[in-house]
Amino acid sequence: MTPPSRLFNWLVRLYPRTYRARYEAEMEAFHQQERAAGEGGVGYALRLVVDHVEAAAAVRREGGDGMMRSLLEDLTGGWRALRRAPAFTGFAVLTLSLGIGATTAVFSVLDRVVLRPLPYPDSNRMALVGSRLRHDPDTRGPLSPAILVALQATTGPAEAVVGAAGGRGVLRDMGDPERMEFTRVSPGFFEFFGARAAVGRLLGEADHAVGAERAAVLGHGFWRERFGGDAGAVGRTLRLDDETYTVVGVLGSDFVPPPEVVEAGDIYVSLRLAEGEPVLGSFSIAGVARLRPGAALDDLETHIGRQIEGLYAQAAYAASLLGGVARPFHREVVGDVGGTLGRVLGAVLLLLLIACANVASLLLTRGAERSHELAVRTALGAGRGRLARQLLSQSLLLALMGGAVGSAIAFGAVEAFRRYAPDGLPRLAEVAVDARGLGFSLLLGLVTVLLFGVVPALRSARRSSSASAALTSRGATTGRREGRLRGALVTMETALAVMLAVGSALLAHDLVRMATLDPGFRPDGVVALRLGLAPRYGEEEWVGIWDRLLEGAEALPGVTAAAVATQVPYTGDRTASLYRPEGVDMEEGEFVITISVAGDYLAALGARMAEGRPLVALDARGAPAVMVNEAFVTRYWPGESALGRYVRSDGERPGDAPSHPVVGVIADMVTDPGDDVAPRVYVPLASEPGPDMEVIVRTDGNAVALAPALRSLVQRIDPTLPVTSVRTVRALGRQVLARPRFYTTLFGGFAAVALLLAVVGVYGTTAYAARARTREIGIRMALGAVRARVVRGELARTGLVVVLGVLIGLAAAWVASRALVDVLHHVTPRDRLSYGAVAALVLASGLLAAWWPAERAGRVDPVDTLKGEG
Amino acid sequence: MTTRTLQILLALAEGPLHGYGIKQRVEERTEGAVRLGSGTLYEAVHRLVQEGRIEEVDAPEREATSGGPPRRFYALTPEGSDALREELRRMDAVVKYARGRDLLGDART
Repeated sequence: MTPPSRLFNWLVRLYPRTYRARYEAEMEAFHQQERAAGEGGVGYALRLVVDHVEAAAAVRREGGDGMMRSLLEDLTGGWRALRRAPAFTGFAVLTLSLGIGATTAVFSVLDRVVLRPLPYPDSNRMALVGSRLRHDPDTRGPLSPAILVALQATTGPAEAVVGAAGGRGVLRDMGDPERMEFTRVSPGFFEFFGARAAVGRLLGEADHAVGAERAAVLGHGFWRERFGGDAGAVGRTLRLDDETYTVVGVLGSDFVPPPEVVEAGDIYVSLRLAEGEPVLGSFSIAGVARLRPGAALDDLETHIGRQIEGLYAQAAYAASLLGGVARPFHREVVGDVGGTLGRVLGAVLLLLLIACANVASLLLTRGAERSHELAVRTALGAGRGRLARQLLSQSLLLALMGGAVGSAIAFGAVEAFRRYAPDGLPRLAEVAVDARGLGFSLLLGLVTVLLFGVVPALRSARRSSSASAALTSRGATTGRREGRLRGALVTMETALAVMLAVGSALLAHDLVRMATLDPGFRPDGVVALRLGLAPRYGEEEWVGIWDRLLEGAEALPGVTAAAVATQVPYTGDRTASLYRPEGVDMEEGEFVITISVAGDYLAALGARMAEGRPLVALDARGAPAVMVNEAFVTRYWPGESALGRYVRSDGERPGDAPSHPVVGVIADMVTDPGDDVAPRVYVPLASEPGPDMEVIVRTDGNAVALAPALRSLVQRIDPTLPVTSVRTVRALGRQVLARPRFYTTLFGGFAAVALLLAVVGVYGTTAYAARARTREIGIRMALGAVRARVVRGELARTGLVVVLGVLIGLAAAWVASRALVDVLHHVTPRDRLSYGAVAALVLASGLLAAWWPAERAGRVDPVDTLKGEG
Repeated sequence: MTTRTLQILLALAEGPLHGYGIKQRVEERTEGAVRLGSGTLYEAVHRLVQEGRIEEVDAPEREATSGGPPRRFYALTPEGSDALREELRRMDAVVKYARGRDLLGDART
């Protein structure tokens, strides 16, 4: 259903039942014809709301009983009053809806991502399980097929254990062959996550049995996209690499692929654990367990450890396997995102407070302007309670409208968030504004208005009781107390805006620093092609193939340097290794990243040597020579030269003489500006070849244009080799900054809106104060006051308030910015530039906003004022 | 009589119409100056029916055969016609009075 129609269906519920029975079908047809005539969009939605709310109120007023009737009359009265002041109403609703919309959007994201349990049965008892590997004991390592089989047979403190592994293959039979990522799952996987089939069936026991026909289950989105949601997809065959699978079913649209477990949710096939002896190697399975009620996580960890011990006691892996890991599913998925989103929510709440202060100050202004009218009405016998009720009903209407428009803003904002959020934000697929989010915005609206609307209402009511005073003074001396209240509100707004602006200035400054940091290499003009040789080639063939690729790449036109390496900057692969510095005791689990390189690695990346010489092909002979990076030296041999020192490798025992001489130190390449550079060892590819490598080339021409040439080079050497991806290193670098850039933009947006609201608040206060005293100013000028002096006087009143706000804001930011310490890397939360810039900006814009109306006040014609006296 | 009521009665003076037809005719004649939403239109229709100024009638021949869901058509009752005529006469008197004293602005230009 289209959003306007949904809105319409919601709106018709406002009418009494009998009325609906009679006219709903008619109104529906009317609405459809309007849609057919091309009506739509936000303007139409707003008209719909106003139209039906007004009509429903009229219908109910006609037919209602006492209570309802008087309430509706109050509301209608309030509505009329608001309509009479469209500028006030529009501005109040806009301000409120901005605050409410932004807050609701952020709350909705936070709610879905962090607060809600994962959408699986008993997910609070679910744990991600894995192995603990010696080279990286803090990380939850994958399971091997053998461990999963053992855990499924003996679940111990768990009710059930399942697992999944990613796979890659070339999909044929569906248009052009294309590389696809798919997921292989263990028996019981879909039941475990409570998944249901939309069409056909999911994988069952029989599909996992030895010799079973190959079956595939499609993800709902993939089925929609490729088969147009045709149920006939079931029974079709898919060819993935050399295997043919029969599609047996499609997952329901409500199934969310479990994060951290499934990476590609398009095609699911069996892990085929039952075939042959369970494999001890090939650690590639992400495991999940559901604990028995009351069972402890630690017990599960111990249980997994015991299974691993039993399986690997005799195997070669024993030394590198430390035991089992079990971690709460929800916490592992959500990770530190809760903190980040919490900060965003904090920022947005500041924005909401500013919006509230603005509305409160508007209501105060309006209350003051209407004090005359109220005084007259009181004098004519209107009850004080009734007046307060009408003022309150106006506030209520404002809250409802602010909530309604705010919800629309929230919908848009969340949609935009989903589209532009950086990769790696968990549970993004689940993010949406729902009843909870809408309830939240309604509640916000109500609280805001009650808080900021009741006070002015009560004040007005109280003031109107001294009706005669108000009548005679004609609001000329509208209370000093009120002036002070308005001043306090503006101070608060300014202070809050300063806080937000300081926060976003810090983030922006940090981002600029990160983006302009010298990375220690030149990423422009570099293209990297990722290639996997397994399983087509055996280990002994790898070096030969990489050499041929390297030669071919060097010969490509436009290429100035080429290399082959385990990783390219910005890709976060961690290659386990047991290379360690001579003479240093490394802690358990500490490890050095190893990168195998061939060709002119330095020139290809534009990296520099800090000391010594780069590796050459000859270095692979005998005990291979190695390079280390600066971080390695700083960490292990601080203050010493690395040249001539040695690095130990895996097989060497403490007594042996270490065998790998360090011949060079490469300058650190900063690939994650948010993190320290990790120690690295670079070894000759020929001494430690791998099946998955990057072919890196530098060109003096267009890097993007080189991609096809690289692909066809691979084709020439072996047309069946799957190229995973070709990308420029520049593009990889941009992805790294995507997340900080996103949050900086978000904060910057909040800060901009906050500043705008604060400026408008300052303007409004000065303008109002000046107008309220037009007479006084006029008389002073008639008595000979100089205009400049009048302007200065007016400016000083609000100017002082602004300066005070800025000072308080800076102090508060000084304290609150500590919340950002985890996300700032290159500036401190006390970064003076940020504080100074914000102070200057807010002061300047605030004083300008105060100066304008003050200047206008100075142009009052004393004659006009005095005429008005008559 | 409110503008909205007057416009609806005027629209129906030319023959029976359904809700959307009333809207279209009103907007045509006032060149978009008076716009009617589905809510306020039926609220007014409901009130006029209760006051006996308009009534539901069978769909005209050509509309009934044009397919689509059956729609409620409305037509003026004799009371409605009277009320409309009375209102128009009153307005006419006002306009005549105003024109007689050059209040329509023609003389100022």
